[in-house]
Amino acid sequence: MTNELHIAYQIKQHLNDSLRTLPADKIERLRAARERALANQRKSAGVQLAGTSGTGSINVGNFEWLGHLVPVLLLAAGLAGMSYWHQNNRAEENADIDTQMLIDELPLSAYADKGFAAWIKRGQE
Amino acid sequence: MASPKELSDLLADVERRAFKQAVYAVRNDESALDIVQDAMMKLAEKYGDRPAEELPLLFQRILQNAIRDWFRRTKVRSFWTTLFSNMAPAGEAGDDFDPLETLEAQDGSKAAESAADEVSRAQIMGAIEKEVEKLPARQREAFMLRYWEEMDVAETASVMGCSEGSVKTHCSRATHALAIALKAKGISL
Repeated sequence: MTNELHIAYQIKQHLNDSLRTLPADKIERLRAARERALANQRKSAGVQLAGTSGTGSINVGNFEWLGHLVPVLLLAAGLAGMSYWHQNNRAEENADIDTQMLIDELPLSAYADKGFAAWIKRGQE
Repeated sequence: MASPKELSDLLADVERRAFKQAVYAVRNDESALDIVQDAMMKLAEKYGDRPAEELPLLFQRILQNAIRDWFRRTKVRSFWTTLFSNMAPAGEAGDDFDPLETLEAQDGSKAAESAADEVSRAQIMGAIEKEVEKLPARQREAFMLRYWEEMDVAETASVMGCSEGSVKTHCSRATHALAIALKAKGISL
């Protein structure tokens, strides 16, 4: 085991030496890749809001799910509103029909009389 | 959450070793650079909000996965290339691994034994790198993580997704294979 560690250490030293001889263009490309990665961290980290105490901070990124929840809630509220308005409208229409029938000169039984409907139709012709 | 400076320091510390690790695995500088860049981007994008102390291990895991993904993609690509290049005469197929390189090294090893003293430091370095490249992938991965990245056995096992016993076996075999191959070239460590 000690021999293994000794060999591994020696190889490690040589491998570390090889890092110093990396071509400049490779080093530059690695640096550019690092810069791009860091820029990405800043983008994805979200906006940091300073806490009121000045020591804490709230990461808005943690409340990202709210952004998905709000449209869903708005859609549900819209559908509920439309359904309520539709029901209300139908109730009002029914009430109007009932009122018209009740204040009409004809008795209600006339509307249920098939013969009366046929007589009206013939009269129109 | 790791600060941009902590992330920057970590990447600056590991980037060259990561590049070399990728080169030893894929044997192509351009592909190795792409792999390291992808690993850096993924670490910053997906794990940039993790505590700084978790990042080295995460980076190694991402890097090793990126290397494995590269091999998977290459395998698929080479399957189609082979399929379409069956018409070409044997030996003309594009191949990054020149068999003459290996042959040369083997031939050289016989003569090199007596000329060990003449081998310069750069040549030793080159020989070591070549032998590291020749290691089986899992042995190289274990050796690099355990001895170059200085991870402990448990961390190495976690990155490699295997048992601690397997890590020890891979490391031991890798070290012995390297020692024997280098000795054959007249390089004693």
